[in-house]
Amino acid sequence: MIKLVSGDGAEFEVEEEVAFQSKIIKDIVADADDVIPLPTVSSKVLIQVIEYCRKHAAVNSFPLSPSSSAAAAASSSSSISYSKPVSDPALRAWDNEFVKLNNSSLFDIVIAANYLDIEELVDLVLETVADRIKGKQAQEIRRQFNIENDFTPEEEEALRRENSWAFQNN
Amino acid sequence: MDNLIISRRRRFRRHLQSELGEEDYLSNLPDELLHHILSFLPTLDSIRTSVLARRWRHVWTSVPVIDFSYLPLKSSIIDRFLASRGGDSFSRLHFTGLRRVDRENVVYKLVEYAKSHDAQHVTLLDFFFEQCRLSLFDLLFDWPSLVSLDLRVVGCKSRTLSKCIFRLNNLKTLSLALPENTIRNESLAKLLSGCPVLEELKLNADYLWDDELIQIEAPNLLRLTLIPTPTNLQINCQKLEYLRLNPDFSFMYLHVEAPSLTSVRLYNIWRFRTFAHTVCDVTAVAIILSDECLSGFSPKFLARWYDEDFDEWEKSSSSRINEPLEPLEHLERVSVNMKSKRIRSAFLKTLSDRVPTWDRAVVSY
Repeated sequence: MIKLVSGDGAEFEVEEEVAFQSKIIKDIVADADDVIPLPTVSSKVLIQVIEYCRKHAAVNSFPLSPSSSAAAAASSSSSISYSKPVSDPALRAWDNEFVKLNNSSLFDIVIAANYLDIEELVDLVLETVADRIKGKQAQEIRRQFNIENDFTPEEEEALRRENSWAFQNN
Repeated sequence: MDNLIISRRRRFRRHLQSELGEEDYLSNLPDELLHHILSFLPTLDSIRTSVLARRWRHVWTSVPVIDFSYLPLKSSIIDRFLASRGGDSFSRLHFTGLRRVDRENVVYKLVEYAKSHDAQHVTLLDFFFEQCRLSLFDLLFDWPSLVSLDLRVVGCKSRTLSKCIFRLNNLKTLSLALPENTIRNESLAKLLSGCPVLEELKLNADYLWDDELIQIEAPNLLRLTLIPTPTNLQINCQKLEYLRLNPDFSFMYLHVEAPSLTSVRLYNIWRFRTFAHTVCDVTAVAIILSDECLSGFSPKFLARWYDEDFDEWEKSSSSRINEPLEPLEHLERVSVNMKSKRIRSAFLKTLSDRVPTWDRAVVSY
């Protein structure tokens, strides 16, 4: 067991394979004792990250059963995946539920996941954020993420002109 | 002066926002993560983020992905676009839909840019090339950093792959659709020997009708899809796990040497016996049959599901499937997708006679 200590001092005991979803923890544990302080991660976020790692560790630790390897084969036959391994459809559905969170929770998780180097979780969250940007007008995106427009109207207009081809209708 | 006021106002707003718990978390992310987010988006969406705020002004220029789909892009726009891109990191080019020859130039520019930046993933789909210049193939197939290539060209009749040089030392995934092109075994052998670490191959091309033997030999190949399927086919892939074929009427010869094979999708039972013979030593096979597998049988058969069709099928199948058949010793899973219950049960019954371990096989439909 490995003990993780959040920024607010709470302790979480997790199995090695769960903690090792984080590459950083995997590297640290090789030559240190098994209490790992994570001062920048709050308990609330750490609980969510552990939940994710627990789920993914459970799925990854079992060798693919014939049914899931056939399902993986079927799902990847339609398109080519780039770097990500083909994931189990059930796990994919679980992931989709996991990221049904408001923006601030998502960003807390991604910052923690990036710090802990949990590549799949970073991908998952950032793709979710990208989906919330996709196809939207600037004003909508600003409202959704509380982005303050610090351009003058003239500056913004000039920028739009500069790449006018990208601002025309699709 | 203006700037000073703006920055003061901004600080005040930031203060207010943090009081309300409505911070701009997104813009506060490090550049690296913003690039990562934009890499999931089409390039147009990515460019449009430049007007969100000053923080976003140049973020899009370092996104390691270019992704254009069905855009009427002029060559001059592409020149400016590429010139405004900064950063060295570039990993993926995705371009869909080229309908007119005059846009070929755009593709060459993008492909050349991607190659000069050692891109690893290239997807070029739905191209319509009336006069496909050989140099595009030359560019694409001599690209040692490439890891995946998905190329679908339409209307490119005059070109063959025989003259290309293949240097794809890191290519793991290749999907090649050249439906109007004829592939000879010699070109295929050249292609495969140029891709020493290839793990997945999907090939959609024509083969000669002179019954030339097509040989697939790839030591690291895990997954193979050949649709259409060559008439005479020999597969020798020690690591192959997944095989998908759609043999038609003229299917004559199949030899599979693939001891690691675990999953087979077969869209035709016309030559089931031949096929069963080749996979009888495999440790686990999932044979997936669909209605499509009967399409080569009789077009009438698919259109209507009358009993006389069934009788016809039964007659033919008894002459084909009931021929002496090697037992499928290790079959673990069968998935059947057929509309007619009677045909399905007849098929499963036939199969069950051939599989000694039928009690343990998982059947789904």
